[in-house]
Amino acid sequence: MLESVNFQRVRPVQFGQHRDPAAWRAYDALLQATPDLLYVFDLQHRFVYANDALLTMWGKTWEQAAGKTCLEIGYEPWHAEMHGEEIDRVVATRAPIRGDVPFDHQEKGRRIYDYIFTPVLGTDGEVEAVAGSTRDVTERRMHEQHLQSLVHELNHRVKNTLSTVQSLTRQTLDTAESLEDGNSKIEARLFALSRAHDVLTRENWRSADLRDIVAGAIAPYRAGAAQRFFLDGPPCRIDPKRALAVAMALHELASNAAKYGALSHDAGRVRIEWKLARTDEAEALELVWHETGGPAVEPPTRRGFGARLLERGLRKDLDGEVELTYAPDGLVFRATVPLDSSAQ
Amino acid sequence: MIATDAKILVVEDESILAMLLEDFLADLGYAMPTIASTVASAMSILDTQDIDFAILDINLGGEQSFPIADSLLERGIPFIFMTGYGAAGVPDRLQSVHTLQKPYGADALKQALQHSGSEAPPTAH
Repeated sequence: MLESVNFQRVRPVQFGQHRDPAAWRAYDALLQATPDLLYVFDLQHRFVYANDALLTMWGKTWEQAAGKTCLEIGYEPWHAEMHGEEIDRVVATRAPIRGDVPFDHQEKGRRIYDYIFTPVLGTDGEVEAVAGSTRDVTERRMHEQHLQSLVHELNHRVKNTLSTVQSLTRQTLDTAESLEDGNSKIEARLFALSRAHDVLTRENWRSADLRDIVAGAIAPYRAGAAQRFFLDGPPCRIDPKRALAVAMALHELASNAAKYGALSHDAGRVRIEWKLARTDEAEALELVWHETGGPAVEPPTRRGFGARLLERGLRKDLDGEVELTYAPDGLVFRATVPLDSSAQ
Repeated sequence: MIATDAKILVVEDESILAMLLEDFLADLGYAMPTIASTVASAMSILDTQDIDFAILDINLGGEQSFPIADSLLERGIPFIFMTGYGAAGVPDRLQSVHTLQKPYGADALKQALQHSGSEAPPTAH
Protein backbone atom coordinates (compact mmCIF):
# COMPACT_ATOMS: atom_id res chain seq x y z
CA MET A 1 0.00 0.00 0.00
CA LEU A 2 1.09 3.53 -0.71
CA GLU A 3 0.73 4.68 2.88
CA SER A 4 3.94 2.83 3.57
CA VAL A 5 5.92 5.13 1.28
CA ASN A 6 8.28 7.42 3.13
CA PHE A 7 7.43 10.93 1.87
CA GLN A 8 10.47 12.59 3.40
CA ARG A 9 12.81 11.01 0.92
CA VAL A 10 13.46 11.89 -2.67
CA ARG A 11 10.26 11.58 -4.61
CA PRO A 12 10.41 9.68 -7.90
CA VAL A 13 12.99 7.08 -7.07
CA GLN A 14 11.33 6.34 -3.78
CA PHE A 15 7.87 6.23 -5.32
CA GLY A 16 8.87 3.64 -7.89
CA GLN A 17 11.72 1.98 -6.09
CA HIS A 18 10.18 -1.43 -5.66
CA ARG A 19 9.49 -1.68 -9.41
CA ASP A 20 11.97 -2.01 -12.24
CA PRO A 21 14.23 1.07 -11.75
CA ALA A 22 14.97 1.51 -15.48
CA ALA A 23 11.27 1.44 -16.34
CA TRP A 24 10.54 3.94 -13.59
CA ARG A 25 13.23 6.32 -14.84
CA ALA A 26 11.61 6.23 -18.28
CA TYR A 27 8.14 6.85 -16.82
CA ASP A 28 9.47 9.66 -14.69
CA ALA A 29 11.09 11.30 -17.72
CA LEU A 30 7.71 11.22 -19.45
CA LEU A 31 5.88 12.55 -16.41
CA GLN A 32 8.33 15.44 -16.12
CA ALA A 33 8.37 16.26 -19.82
CA THR A 34 4.66 17.00 -20.19
CA PRO A 35 3.27 20.48 -19.53
CA ASP A 36 0.23 18.77 -17.92
CA LEU A 37 0.03 18.55 -14.14
CA LEU A 38 0.36 14.92 -12.98
CA TYR A 39 -0.09 13.70 -9.43
CA VAL A 40 -1.21 10.84 -7.20
CA PHE A 41 -3.34 11.03 -4.07
CA ASP A 42 -3.37 8.36 -1.39
CA LEU A 43 -6.69 7.30 0.13
CA GLN A 44 -6.35 10.05 2.76
CA HIS A 45 -6.32 12.69 -0.01
CA ARG A 46 -2.59 13.35 0.47
CA PHE A 47 -0.25 14.03 -2.43
CA VAL A 48 2.19 11.13 -2.81
CA TYR A 49 3.42 12.26 -6.21
CA ALA A 50 3.52 15.59 -8.06
CA ASN A 51 5.41 16.28 -11.29
CA ASP A 52 7.46 19.41 -11.85
CA ALA A 53 4.68 21.18 -13.77
CA LEU A 54 2.43 20.91 -10.71
CA LEU A 55 5.19 21.98 -8.30
CA THR A 56 5.84 25.01 -10.52
CA MET A 57 2.16 25.88 -10.50
CA TRP A 58 2.16 25.75 -6.72
CA GLY A 59 5.52 27.47 -6.44
CA LYS A 60 6.65 24.72 -4.06
CA THR A 61 9.34 22.05 -3.82
CA TRP A 62 8.36 18.42 -3.45
CA GLU A 63 9.68 18.51 0.13
CA GLN A 64 7.17 21.29 0.90
CA ALA A 65 4.28 19.44 -0.72
CA ALA A 66 4.90 15.76 0.01
CA GLY A 67 2.16 14.10 2.03
CA LYS A 68 0.00 17.21 2.23
CA THR A 69 -3.67 17.48 1.32
CA CYS A 70 -5.00 20.23 -0.99
CA LEU A 71 -6.12 22.23 2.04
CA GLU A 72 -2.67 21.96 3.65
CA ILE A 73 -1.07 23.09 0.41
CA GLY A 74 -3.19 26.21 0.46
CA TYR A 75 -6.20 25.49 -1.75
CA GLU A 76 -9.31 27.40 -0.76
CA PRO A 77 -11.52 25.26 1.53
CA TRP A 78 -14.34 24.81 -1.03
CA HIS A 79 -11.79 23.70 -3.61
CA ALA A 80 -10.02 21.27 -1.29
CA GLU A 81 -13.35 19.89 -0.14
CA MET A 82 -14.51 19.40 -3.73
CA HIS A 83 -11.39 17.40 -4.63
CA GLY A 84 -11.69 15.41 -1.40
CA GLU A 85 -15.22 14.38 -2.34
CA GLU A 86 -14.10 13.55 -5.87
CA ILE A 87 -11.27 11.32 -4.62
CA ASP A 88 -13.75 9.47 -2.36
CA ARG A 89 -16.14 9.07 -5.28
CA VAL A 90 -13.39 7.61 -7.51
CA VAL A 91 -12.47 5.17 -4.74
CA ALA A 92 -16.10 4.18 -4.16
CA THR A 93 -17.09 3.83 -7.83
CA ARG A 94 -13.69 2.78 -9.27
CA ALA A 95 -14.55 5.06 -12.16
CA PRO A 96 -12.72 8.17 -13.31
CA ILE A 97 -14.24 11.64 -12.91
CA ARG A 98 -13.61 14.77 -14.90
CA GLY A 99 -14.04 18.43 -14.04
CA ASP A 100 -12.75 21.92 -14.63
CA VAL A 101 -11.81 24.60 -12.18
CA PRO A 102 -10.09 27.99 -12.10
CA PHE A 103 -6.87 28.19 -10.09
CA ASP A 104 -4.12 30.74 -9.55
CA HIS A 105 -0.88 29.59 -11.15
CA GLN A 106 2.08 30.90 -9.16
CA GLU A 107 3.65 32.42 -12.30
CA LYS A 108 0.85 32.79 -14.84
CA GLY A 109 -1.99 34.00 -12.65
CA ARG A 110 -5.55 32.73 -12.88
CA ARG A 111 -5.94 29.85 -15.33
CA ILE A 112 -8.69 27.38 -16.19
CA TYR A 113 -7.80 23.73 -15.57
CA ASP A 114 -9.46 20.59 -16.92
CA TYR A 115 -8.70 17.55 -14.75
CA ILE A 116 -9.28 13.82 -14.64
CA PHE A 117 -9.00 11.69 -11.45
CA THR A 118 -8.68 8.02 -12.16
CA PRO A 119 -8.43 4.98 -9.81
CA VAL A 120 -5.13 3.10 -9.37
CA LEU A 121 -5.96 -0.55 -8.70
CA GLY A 122 -3.71 -2.71 -6.55
CA THR A 123 -2.92 -6.35 -7.23
CA ASP A 124 -5.89 -7.29 -5.04
CA GLY A 125 -8.22 -5.30 -7.34
CA GLU A 126 -8.90 -2.67 -4.70
CA VAL A 127 -8.33 1.03 -5.31
CA GLU A 128 -5.00 1.85 -3.67
CA ALA A 129 -4.56 5.41 -4.90
CA VAL A 130 -6.09 8.02 -7.18
CA ALA A 131 -4.01 9.38 -10.06
CA GLY A 132 -4.75 12.78 -11.53
CA SER A 133 -3.97 14.58 -14.72
CA THR A 134 -4.72 18.27 -15.17
CA ARG A 135 -4.43 20.37 -18.30
CA ASP A 136 -4.36 24.16 -18.64
CA VAL A 137 -7.24 24.87 -21.03
CA THR A 138 -7.30 28.65 -20.63
CA GLU A 139 -6.29 29.34 -24.22
CA ARG A 140 -8.77 26.82 -25.58
CA ARG A 141 -11.55 28.38 -23.54
CA MET A 142 -10.63 31.82 -24.82
CA HIS A 143 -10.62 30.53 -28.40
CA GLU A 144 -14.03 28.97 -27.85
CA GLN A 145 -15.42 32.22 -26.50
CA HIS A 146 -13.83 34.17 -29.34
CA LEU A 147 -15.29 31.74 -31.86
CA GLN A 148 -18.69 32.07 -30.24
CA SER A 149 -18.57 35.84 -30.49
CA LEU A 150 -17.45 35.61 -34.12
CA VAL A 151 -20.42 33.38 -34.92
CA HIS A 152 -22.75 35.90 -33.25
CA GLU A 153 -21.14 38.73 -35.14
CA LEU A 154 -21.33 36.85 -38.42
CA ASN A 155 -24.97 36.01 -37.84
CA HIS A 156 -25.73 39.65 -37.17
CA ARG A 157 -23.87 40.73 -40.28
CA VAL A 158 -25.61 38.16 -42.46
CA LYS A 159 -29.05 39.22 -41.21
CA ASN A 160 -28.22 42.88 -41.72
CA THR A 161 -26.91 42.18 -45.19
CA LEU A 162 -30.08 40.27 -46.05
CA SER A 163 -32.10 43.25 -44.81
CA THR A 164 -29.96 45.54 -46.97
CA VAL A 165 -30.64 43.35 -49.99
CA GLN A 166 -34.35 43.37 -49.14
CA SER A 167 -34.30 47.17 -48.98
CA LEU A 168 -32.33 47.61 -52.22
CA THR A 169 -34.58 45.20 -54.09
CA ARG A 170 -37.80 46.70 -52.88
CA GLN A 171 -36.80 50.28 -53.48
CA THR A 172 -35.35 49.50 -56.90
CA LEU A 173 -38.48 47.68 -58.04
CA ASP A 174 -40.72 50.47 -56.70
CA THR A 175 -39.24 52.95 -59.16
CA ALA A 176 -37.97 50.67 -61.95
CA GLU A 177 -39.01 51.63 -65.48
CA SER A 178 -39.33 47.99 -66.49
CA LEU A 179 -38.58 44.55 -65.18
CA GLU A 180 -35.35 44.56 -67.16
CA ASP A 181 -34.35 47.95 -65.79
CA GLY A 182 -35.11 46.77 -62.24
CA ASN A 183 -33.19 43.57 -62.77
CA SER A 184 -30.02 45.25 -64.00
CA LYS A 185 -30.14 47.93 -61.29
CA ILE A 186 -30.58 45.37 -58.52
CA GLU A 187 -27.69 43.36 -59.89
CA ALA A 188 -25.42 46.41 -60.18
CA ARG A 189 -26.26 47.47 -56.61
CA LEU A 190 -25.61 44.00 -55.22
CA PHE A 191 -22.25 43.91 -57.01
CA ALA A 192 -21.36 47.33 -55.60
CA LEU A 193 -22.23 46.08 -52.11
CA SER A 194 -20.18 42.95 -52.74
CA ARG A 195 -17.09 44.92 -53.86
CA ALA A 196 -17.28 47.04 -50.73
CA HIS A 197 -17.50 43.82 -48.69
CA ASP A 198 -14.38 42.57 -50.48
CA VAL A 199 -12.42 45.63 -49.38
CA LEU A 200 -13.68 45.32 -45.80
CA THR A 201 -13.02 41.58 -45.67
CA ARG A 202 -9.41 42.15 -46.71
CA GLU A 203 -9.10 44.45 -43.70
CA ASN A 204 -10.93 42.09 -41.32
CA TRP A 205 -13.86 44.52 -41.14
CA ARG A 206 -11.91 46.94 -38.98
CA SER A 207 -11.68 49.81 -41.41
CA ALA A 208 -11.01 50.46 -45.06
CA ASP A 209 -8.81 52.80 -47.06
CA LEU A 210 -10.96 55.33 -48.84
CA ARG A 211 -9.06 54.94 -52.11
CA ASP A 212 -9.83 51.19 -52.18
CA ILE A 213 -13.50 51.90 -51.53
CA VAL A 214 -13.59 54.55 -54.29
CA ALA A 215 -11.79 52.24 -56.72
CA GLY A 216 -14.18 49.38 -55.95
CA ALA A 217 -17.25 51.56 -56.41
CA ILE A 218 -16.27 52.89 -59.83
CA ALA A 219 -14.59 49.71 -61.09
CA PRO A 220 -17.28 48.72 -63.66
CA TYR A 221 -17.31 52.25 -65.11
CA ARG A 222 -13.56 52.68 -65.12
CA ALA A 223 -12.83 49.57 -67.21
CA GLY A 224 -11.55 50.74 -70.58
CA ALA A 225 -12.12 54.36 -69.60
CA ALA A 226 -9.58 54.89 -66.85
CA GLN A 227 -8.54 58.29 -68.23
CA ARG A 228 -12.04 59.62 -67.59
CA PHE A 229 -11.62 59.36 -63.87
CA PHE A 230 -9.29 61.49 -61.80
CA LEU A 231 -8.77 60.38 -58.21
CA ASP A 232 -6.86 62.46 -55.72
CA GLY A 233 -6.63 62.36 -51.97
CA PRO A 234 -4.43 61.38 -49.04
CA PRO A 235 -4.52 57.97 -47.33
CA CYS A 236 -7.63 57.93 -45.18
CA ARG A 237 -9.17 55.13 -43.12
CA ILE A 238 -12.90 54.98 -42.58
CA ASP A 239 -14.99 52.62 -40.45
CA PRO A 240 -16.99 49.78 -42.06
CA LYS A 241 -20.38 51.49 -41.82
CA ARG A 242 -19.16 54.63 -43.54
CA ALA A 243 -17.15 52.61 -46.03
CA LEU A 244 -20.32 50.82 -47.13
CA ALA A 245 -22.25 54.10 -47.26
CA VAL A 246 -19.57 55.83 -49.37
CA ALA A 247 -19.32 52.79 -51.66
CA MET A 248 -23.06 52.70 -52.27
CA ALA A 249 -23.18 56.47 -52.80
CA LEU A 250 -20.34 56.44 -55.33
CA HIS A 251 -21.93 53.51 -57.12
CA GLU A 252 -25.17 55.46 -57.49
CA LEU A 253 -23.27 58.52 -58.74
CA ALA A 254 -21.27 56.46 -61.24
CA SER A 255 -24.31 54.62 -62.54
CA ASN A 256 -26.21 57.88 -62.87
CA ALA A 257 -23.25 59.52 -64.64
CA ALA A 258 -23.04 56.62 -67.10
CA LYS A 259 -26.71 56.96 -67.96
CA TYR A 260 -27.34 60.69 -67.90
CA GLY A 261 -24.19 62.50 -66.82
CA ALA A 262 -20.55 62.96 -67.71
CA LEU A 263 -19.91 59.29 -68.42
CA SER A 264 -22.65 59.23 -71.07
CA HIS A 265 -20.47 61.52 -73.24
CA ASP A 266 -17.03 60.75 -74.65
CA ALA A 267 -15.73 64.12 -73.46
CA GLY A 268 -17.11 63.79 -69.94
CA ARG A 269 -14.81 63.49 -66.93
CA VAL A 270 -15.27 62.74 -63.25
CA ARG A 271 -12.98 64.08 -60.55
CA ILE A 272 -13.16 62.35 -57.19
CA GLU A 273 -11.18 64.28 -54.63
CA TRP A 274 -10.91 64.07 -50.90
CA LYS A 275 -8.99 65.84 -48.20
CA LEU A 276 -8.76 65.83 -44.44
CA ALA A 277 -9.73 68.94 -42.55
CA ARG A 278 -9.72 69.75 -38.88
CA THR A 279 -12.87 71.31 -37.46
CA ASP A 280 -13.44 71.96 -33.75
CA GLU A 281 -11.09 69.36 -32.32
CA ALA A 282 -12.40 66.69 -34.68
CA GLU A 283 -10.96 65.53 -37.97
CA ALA A 284 -13.30 65.52 -40.93
CA LEU A 285 -13.13 64.09 -44.41
CA GLU A 286 -14.34 66.16 -47.35
CA LEU A 287 -15.21 64.08 -50.37
CA VAL A 288 -16.21 65.64 -53.69
CA TRP A 289 -17.53 63.95 -56.83
CA HIS A 290 -17.37 66.48 -59.65
CA GLU A 291 -18.58 65.78 -63.19
CA THR A 292 -17.53 67.94 -66.13
CA GLY A 293 -17.98 67.82 -69.89
CA GLY A 294 -21.24 65.94 -69.79
CA PRO A 295 -24.68 67.01 -70.98
CA ALA A 296 -26.57 69.63 -69.02
CA VAL A 297 -27.99 67.93 -65.97
CA GLU A 298 -31.36 68.36 -64.42
CA PRO A 299 -32.59 67.09 -61.12
CA PRO A 300 -34.27 63.73 -61.54
CA THR A 301 -38.03 63.87 -61.62
CA ARG A 302 -38.44 60.48 -60.00
CA ARG A 303 -37.23 59.96 -56.50
CA GLY A 304 -35.34 56.78 -57.09
CA PHE A 305 -33.29 54.82 -54.62
CA GLY A 306 -30.06 56.52 -55.68
CA ALA A 307 -31.19 60.10 -55.14
CA ARG A 308 -32.87 59.15 -51.91
CA LEU A 309 -29.76 57.41 -50.63
CA LEU A 310 -27.49 60.29 -51.63
CA GLU A 311 -29.54 63.12 -50.25
CA ARG A 312 -31.16 61.79 -47.12
CA GLY A 313 -30.03 58.40 -46.08
CA LEU A 314 -26.35 59.01 -46.46
CA ARG A 315 -26.41 62.00 -44.15
CA LYS A 316 -27.39 59.61 -41.35
CA ASP A 317 -24.82 56.95 -42.18
CA LEU A 318 -22.00 59.41 -42.57
CA ASP A 319 -23.21 61.46 -39.63
CA GLY A 320 -22.07 64.47 -41.60
CA GLU A 321 -23.28 66.82 -44.31
CA VAL A 322 -24.06 65.92 -47.89
CA GLU A 323 -24.88 68.22 -50.76
CA LEU A 324 -26.01 67.22 -54.23
CA THR A 325 -25.92 70.02 -56.81
CA TYR A 326 -27.30 69.59 -60.31
CA ALA A 327 -25.07 72.30 -61.82
CA PRO A 328 -25.54 72.91 -65.58
CA ASP A 329 -21.96 71.84 -66.40
CA GLY A 330 -22.14 68.67 -64.36
CA LEU A 331 -23.35 67.13 -61.17
CA VAL A 332 -21.45 67.87 -57.97
CA PHE A 333 -21.76 65.78 -54.83
CA ARG A 334 -20.04 66.86 -51.64
CA ALA A 335 -19.92 64.98 -48.37
CA THR A 336 -18.30 66.12 -45.14
CA VAL A 337 -17.76 63.23 -42.79
CA PRO A 338 -16.46 63.51 -39.23
CA LEU A 339 -13.86 60.77 -38.88
CA ASP A 340 -14.11 58.17 -36.18
CA SER A 341 -10.76 58.12 -34.44
CA SER A 342 -11.13 54.36 -33.81
CA ALA A 343 -10.88 53.67 -37.56
CA GLN A 344 -7.54 55.43 -37.86
CA MET B 1 -52.40 49.43 -31.47
CA ILE B 2 -50.24 52.34 -32.49
CA ALA B 3 -52.38 55.06 -34.10
CA THR B 4 -51.41 56.05 -37.63
CA ASP B 5 -50.88 59.66 -36.57
CA ALA B 6 -48.39 58.57 -33.88
CA LYS B 7 -45.03 60.31 -33.85
CA ILE B 8 -42.58 57.47 -34.36
CA LEU B 9 -38.87 57.46 -33.60
CA VAL B 10 -36.78 55.00 -35.59
CA VAL B 11 -33.27 54.31 -34.29
CA GLU B 12 -31.27 52.60 -37.05
CA ASP B 13 -27.68 53.29 -38.00
CA GLU B 14 -27.80 52.01 -41.58
CA SER B 15 -29.68 54.34 -43.84
CA ILE B 16 -30.58 51.70 -46.41
CA LEU B 17 -32.37 49.82 -43.63
CA ALA B 18 -33.98 52.99 -42.26
CA MET B 19 -35.32 53.71 -45.75
CA LEU B 20 -36.95 50.28 -45.89
CA LEU B 21 -38.65 50.88 -42.55
CA GLU B 22 -39.82 54.32 -43.72
CA ASP B 23 -41.38 52.68 -46.77
CA PHE B 24 -43.10 50.01 -44.70
CA LEU B 25 -44.49 52.63 -42.31
CA ALA B 26 -45.71 54.76 -45.23
CA ASP B 27 -47.38 51.70 -46.79
CA LEU B 28 -49.15 51.03 -43.49
CA GLY B 29 -50.44 54.60 -43.44
CA TYR B 30 -48.07 56.01 -40.82
CA ALA B 31 -46.51 59.46 -40.94
CA MET B 32 -42.81 59.88 -41.76
CA PRO B 33 -40.81 58.80 -38.70
CA THR B 34 -37.98 60.70 -37.06
CA ILE B 35 -34.71 58.85 -37.64
CA ALA B 36 -31.77 58.68 -35.24
CA SER B 37 -28.61 56.65 -35.81
CA THR B 38 -26.85 56.90 -32.45
CA VAL B 39 -27.77 56.63 -28.77
CA ALA B 40 -26.83 60.29 -28.25
CA SER B 41 -29.01 61.59 -31.09
CA ALA B 42 -31.95 59.42 -30.02
CA MET B 43 -31.65 60.71 -26.44
CA SER B 44 -31.60 64.30 -27.60
CA ILE B 45 -34.70 63.69 -29.76
CA LEU B 46 -36.49 62.20 -26.73
CA ASP B 47 -35.55 65.30 -24.73
CA THR B 48 -36.81 67.76 -27.32
CA GLN B 49 -39.66 66.10 -29.21
CA ASP B 50 -42.92 64.39 -28.37
CA ILE B 51 -42.55 60.77 -29.39
CA ASP B 52 -45.43 58.26 -29.13
CA PHE B 53 -43.67 55.09 -30.19
CA ALA B 54 -40.13 53.93 -31.00
CA ILE B 55 -38.52 51.19 -33.08
CA LEU B 56 -34.95 50.44 -31.96
CA ASP B 57 -32.24 48.56 -33.78
CA ILE B 58 -30.21 46.89 -31.02
CA ASN B 59 -26.73 47.13 -32.51
CA LEU B 60 -25.87 50.68 -33.57
CA GLY B 61 -22.46 50.31 -35.19
CA GLY B 62 -20.76 49.09 -32.02
CA GLU B 63 -22.95 50.65 -29.33
CA GLN B 64 -26.17 49.07 -28.13
CA SER B 65 -29.51 50.83 -27.91
CA PHE B 66 -30.46 49.58 -24.41
CA PRO B 67 -29.92 53.00 -22.75
CA ILE B 68 -32.56 54.37 -25.13
CA ALA B 69 -34.87 51.50 -24.16
CA ASP B 70 -34.42 52.32 -20.46
CA SER B 71 -35.18 55.97 -21.13
CA LEU B 72 -38.32 55.02 -23.09
CA LEU B 73 -39.46 52.85 -20.17
CA GLU B 74 -38.98 55.73 -17.75
CA ARG B 75 -41.01 57.99 -20.01
CA GLY B 76 -43.72 55.36 -20.50
CA ILE B 77 -43.28 55.37 -24.28
CA PRO B 78 -44.00 52.00 -25.92
CA PHE B 79 -41.35 50.58 -28.23
CA ILE B 80 -40.11 47.48 -30.02
CA PHE B 81 -36.68 46.18 -30.97
CA MET B 82 -35.47 45.02 -34.34
CA THR B 83 -32.32 42.98 -34.67
CA GLY B 84 -30.49 40.26 -36.51
CA TYR B 85 -29.60 38.62 -33.18
CA GLY B 86 -33.17 37.67 -32.23
CA ALA B 87 -34.41 37.95 -28.66
CA ALA B 88 -31.21 36.25 -27.42
CA GLY B 89 -29.33 39.55 -27.52
CA VAL B 90 -31.83 41.32 -25.26
CA PRO B 91 -31.00 41.62 -21.53
CA ASP B 92 -33.40 40.00 -19.06
CA ARG B 93 -34.98 43.25 -17.94
CA LEU B 94 -36.08 43.95 -21.52
CA GLN B 95 -37.07 40.40 -22.50
CA SER B 96 -40.78 41.25 -22.60
CA VAL B 97 -40.26 43.90 -25.29
CA HIS B 98 -41.40 42.68 -28.71
CA THR B 99 -38.50 41.98 -31.08
CA LEU B 100 -38.70 42.09 -34.86
CA GLN B 101 -36.22 39.63 -36.31
CA LYS B 102 -34.32 41.04 -39.30
CA PRO B 103 -35.01 40.67 -42.10
CA TYR B 104 -38.70 41.30 -41.50
CA GLY B 105 -41.62 42.02 -43.80
CA ALA B 106 -44.40 44.59 -43.70
CA ASP B 107 -46.77 42.03 -42.17
CA ALA B 108 -44.52 41.36 -39.19
CA LEU B 109 -44.16 45.11 -38.63
CA LYS B 110 -47.92 45.59 -38.90
CA GLN B 111 -48.55 42.92 -36.28
CA ALA B 112 -45.95 44.41 -33.96
CA LEU B 113 -47.57 47.85 -34.28
CA GLN B 114 -51.04 46.39 -33.68
CA HIS B 115 -49.97 44.64 -30.51
CA SER B 116 -47.85 47.45 -29.12
CA GLY B 117 -49.17 49.99 -26.69
CA SER B 118 -52.08 47.72 -25.70
CA GLU B 119 -50.14 45.80 -23.07
CA ALA B 120 -48.35 47.20 -20.07
CA PRO B 121 -44.67 47.85 -20.76
CA PRO B 122 -42.09 46.32 -18.41
CA THR B 123 -41.49 48.40 -15.33
CA ALA B 124 -38.58 50.79 -15.29
CA HIS B 125 -35.57 50.03 -13.10
